Amino acid sequence: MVRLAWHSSGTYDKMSKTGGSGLGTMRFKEEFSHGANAGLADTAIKWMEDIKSKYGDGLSYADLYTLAGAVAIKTLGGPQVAWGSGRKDSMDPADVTPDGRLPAADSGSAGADPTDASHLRTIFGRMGFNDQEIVALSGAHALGRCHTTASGYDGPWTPTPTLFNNAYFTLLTSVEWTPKKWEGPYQYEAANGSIMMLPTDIALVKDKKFAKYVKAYAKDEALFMKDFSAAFSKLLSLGTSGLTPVYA
Amino acid sequence: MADRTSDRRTFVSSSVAAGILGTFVIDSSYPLIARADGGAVDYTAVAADIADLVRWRIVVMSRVMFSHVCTV
Repeated sequence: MVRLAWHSSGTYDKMSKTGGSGLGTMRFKEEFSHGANAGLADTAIKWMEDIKSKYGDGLSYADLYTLAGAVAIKTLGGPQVAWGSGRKDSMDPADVTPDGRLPAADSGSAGADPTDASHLRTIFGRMGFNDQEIVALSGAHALGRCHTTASGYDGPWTPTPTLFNNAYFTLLTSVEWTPKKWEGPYQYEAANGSIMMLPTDIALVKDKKFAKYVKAYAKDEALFMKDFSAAFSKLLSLGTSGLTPVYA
Repeated sequence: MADRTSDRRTFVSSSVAAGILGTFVIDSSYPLIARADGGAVDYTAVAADIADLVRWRIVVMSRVMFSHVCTV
């Protein structure tokens, strides 16, 4: 559900002012079939249908998908995320943005240095996020895991994938991460193989500007919670205007 | 939602018995400070339903080690 909210919002382009969370287009096949959204249609998007049908037309998909992310974060021990209502669903799949606006976990183009941080800056910069916000948002990897059936990657980032905390950062800075020897996509693993990191995660500690924030969040969970809340709230409102504050 | 109540109870009881959920602190509070749309939608109720769904997925994940809370 966190991923549904994030991917619904992360298509925003600040230059063209297209994409974002405002239109609920993730429900269209034209969008949920994008490679980065693999698995969402059979999970979070499907689960939201029960709630959507209960509340009817008064509740837009766009509001529901974003609220789901905020509530999931809070329910799993994270901070309260300010959220506003008022998104109105598009009825036209033509409003779906082109594939490729979300980050690629392998850092983008084929042959690229898998720990090259420029891909993250390009993608998140297009949405309007700075280095500090990029690192804070990456902390959502405290939750969940990768599946070979979805992204091809495999494993959780932390030993506690249903708890929202700063474990992602403490592990990034304290574990010796080595490339996983397997037939799957390039990823990193801890010595015992129980937890993993994506190339884009390792990029955060390889890049000095990013690493400054990784270390700060590893040391100070309260700071991470505060910064994540602000950045995630900003993410959920990308591509919208005139929302009515509901939760603050 | 109601159809899975019995299943949920089964999952919760078996997971709790296994001690899997012992460390989870579930907080469903999400204070309402305003209601949009002239009261057309009770977002507190929507949030409560979403929180319930999140808990349900935690239990399922605890059971089968399969998380879709934040999955890539």
